Amino acid sequence: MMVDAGHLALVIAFVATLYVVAASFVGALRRVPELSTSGRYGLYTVPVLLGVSTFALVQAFVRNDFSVRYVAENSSLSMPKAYTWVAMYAGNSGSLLFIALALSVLAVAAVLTLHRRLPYTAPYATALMAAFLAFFLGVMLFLADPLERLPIVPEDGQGINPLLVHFGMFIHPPLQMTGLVSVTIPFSIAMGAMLAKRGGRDEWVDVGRLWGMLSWLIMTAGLMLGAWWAYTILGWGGYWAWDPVENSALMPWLAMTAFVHSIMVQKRRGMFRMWNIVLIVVAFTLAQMGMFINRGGPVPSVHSFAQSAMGWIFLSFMVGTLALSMAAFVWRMDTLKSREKLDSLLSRESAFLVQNVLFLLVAFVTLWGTVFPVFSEAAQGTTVTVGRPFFDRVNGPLLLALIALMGVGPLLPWRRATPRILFAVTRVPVGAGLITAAVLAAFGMRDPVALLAFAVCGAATAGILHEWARGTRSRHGRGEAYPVAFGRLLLANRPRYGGYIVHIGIVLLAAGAVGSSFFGVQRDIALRPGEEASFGGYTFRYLSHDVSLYPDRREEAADVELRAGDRYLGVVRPFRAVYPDFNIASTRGAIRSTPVEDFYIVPSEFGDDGQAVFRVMVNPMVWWMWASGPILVLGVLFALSPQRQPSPAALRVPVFAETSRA
Amino acid sequence: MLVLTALLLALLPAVAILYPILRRRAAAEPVDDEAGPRAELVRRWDSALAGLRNTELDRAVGNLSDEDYEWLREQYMTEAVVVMKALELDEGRQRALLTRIEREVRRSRTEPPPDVGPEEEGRE
Repeated sequence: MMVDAGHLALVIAFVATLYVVAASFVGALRRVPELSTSGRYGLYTVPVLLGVSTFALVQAFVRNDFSVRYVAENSSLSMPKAYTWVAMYAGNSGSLLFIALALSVLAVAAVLTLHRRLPYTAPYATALMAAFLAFFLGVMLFLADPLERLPIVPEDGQGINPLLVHFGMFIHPPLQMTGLVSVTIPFSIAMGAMLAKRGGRDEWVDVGRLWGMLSWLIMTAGLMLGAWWAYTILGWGGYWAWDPVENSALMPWLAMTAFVHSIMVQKRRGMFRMWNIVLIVVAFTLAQMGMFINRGGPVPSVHSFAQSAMGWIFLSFMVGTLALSMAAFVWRMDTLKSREKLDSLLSRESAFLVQNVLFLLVAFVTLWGTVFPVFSEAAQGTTVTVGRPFFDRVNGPLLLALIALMGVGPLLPWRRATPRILFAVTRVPVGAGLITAAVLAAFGMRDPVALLAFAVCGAATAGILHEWARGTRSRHGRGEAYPVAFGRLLLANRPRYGGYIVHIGIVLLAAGAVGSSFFGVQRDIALRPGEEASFGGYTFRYLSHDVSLYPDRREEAADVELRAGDRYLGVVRPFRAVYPDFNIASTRGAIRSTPVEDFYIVPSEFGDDGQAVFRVMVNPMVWWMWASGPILVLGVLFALSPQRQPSPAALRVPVFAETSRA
Repeated sequence: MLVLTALLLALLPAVAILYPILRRRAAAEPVDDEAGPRAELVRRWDSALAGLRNTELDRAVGNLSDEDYEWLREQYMTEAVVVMKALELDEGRQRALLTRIEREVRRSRTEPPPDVGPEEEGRE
């Protein structure tokens, strides 16, 4: 009964969404406000209807209702009930339902923030959001119905993919999917403003920036959690493999990073209007590309859904929306001319522009590396996969240049700076970078690329800290105590200093990536129970081995005693599980993490006599990467926190008085 | 039972969709155009104020020379004062003034900004 109700809700949501598209577009074009309002109210009901469908599916999982095909394919009687929610989006159609639900909630929240502030833009934006929602619902209803019934009900289901049975799966996939689909919101707002001929007056910029940053935040959290999941469960000791699906999540993130910076220039100076539209279109297209690759595109990946015709429907939709976006852009181009021009090449605006170009370069290098197998297949008949060395070699220097620019760009004033000021603001960061390199070289670091990378990280951090120190000192000179002065300095300009906090997070992330990539070491060591070995300053003794049989898997675990020199660190328990139904072996490494380095041990295989082959790794500075996550979130939230601005009426007398004195 | 459920589920969007059309209240509500001169002036005001705030901050932390600071401060101050005056005008005159501001901004852009010569640099 509930399943049927859920299916009905899905059908009604689809019809309602189509109505929202039509009513909002016609209401906006014909200037019929009650029609636009009707469309908007219709949109408000879609999350409720999709909530009913989602509830129906979750309930089917909880009740082990294997008459529902999706439940039979993604759960089993032995599946831990706690993973019901994970199973809900573990497959293709369930994840589509989740995406549709997330998009509907975001769309409603966006429209609520839009309709009063941007009354002419809002109906177009509503129509666009509803159109994308209708696409997902249509695909679900006609190609991948999550509530479809099976003609014959099996006694047990096939079970959940074992790799998804991990705590991170409660958060990473929802955030990743929500992140990708959330790009729809700033895209719809920008396109809506353009269609309403309001794109050239910067009306949409504040709301567009808000939703751009929220989208960036969700994508960032999704990427970070994905890296953490890969590190802890996949058992290869790494966190980023330049896999196509990872890349497909990274590319829109890069474009969105460029957008959230560039939109600030439009907000402040009325510049980059066309560029910002291009950036958001690129971000949206890359997000759709991610969904295409994820939904059975031609590029092989370890964690995409099975190849299917659905991928090509997503590709067609992506090409169609890109073509329409570009057509709308050309049509409205005359309304998008910048209000002002660059005053100087030495300014913060110019730094933003260079940074934008670098971000897009990284995105397109990644895109090229991702789709290269398809082109090689078409051109030569053989699939040539582009691996990590290509991405490291090409993207590495670009990312390093970006971090260097991140250190200098924000220190430049808006509009123009003199070479003397450039020297004044860069001497401390450059000095700090040189000192960092010198100290690391003195401690024995010899790799020139790593030295350069750490020097750039040191310079970027010093630039931020130096500006905070100067600002705090300046306020302290006016009688404020140091802590108060620092707090008020940050609060006085939240977008700027929130951005600086994010930059510190990025520096931590980069330092962690550089440290673990350049100085990580690994070795495969075979041990029998009772034997011990040493590696990377750690001594570990293989104490014992045990086998546990579960309905869905055979799990072998090892107890390993760990020491660093004479210091006893405890007993860790890595394990390896084999899932015969899935023909998958899942290894779970034991990790001892400190800010200096991670000791990572994972059993690659167990022999009949208990002998085990362990892969042992010492990965420096990985902890820094995970520590950067909360800092990134904090920075974005701080930058978005509302700041009261005095109204013209409130300031009328003082400003005129000051002007007259001048 | 299923028919009743379908009716109940369909009732929700039906009521939401029909309500504004039947009430026809939305048409009566005046809507401020986000691209109207007043909204544009408020945005200009916010932008000028943020510019002033940043200029002061950049000056305080040493990211601006005296000359650049004076030049930027004058630009933002002038814009803030003009916007403040314009906000007191009626819509037609606001539109005319905005056009004039655009013209003045374009004209001022053709004039070179004051250079920081060696003498001025030496004074700092």
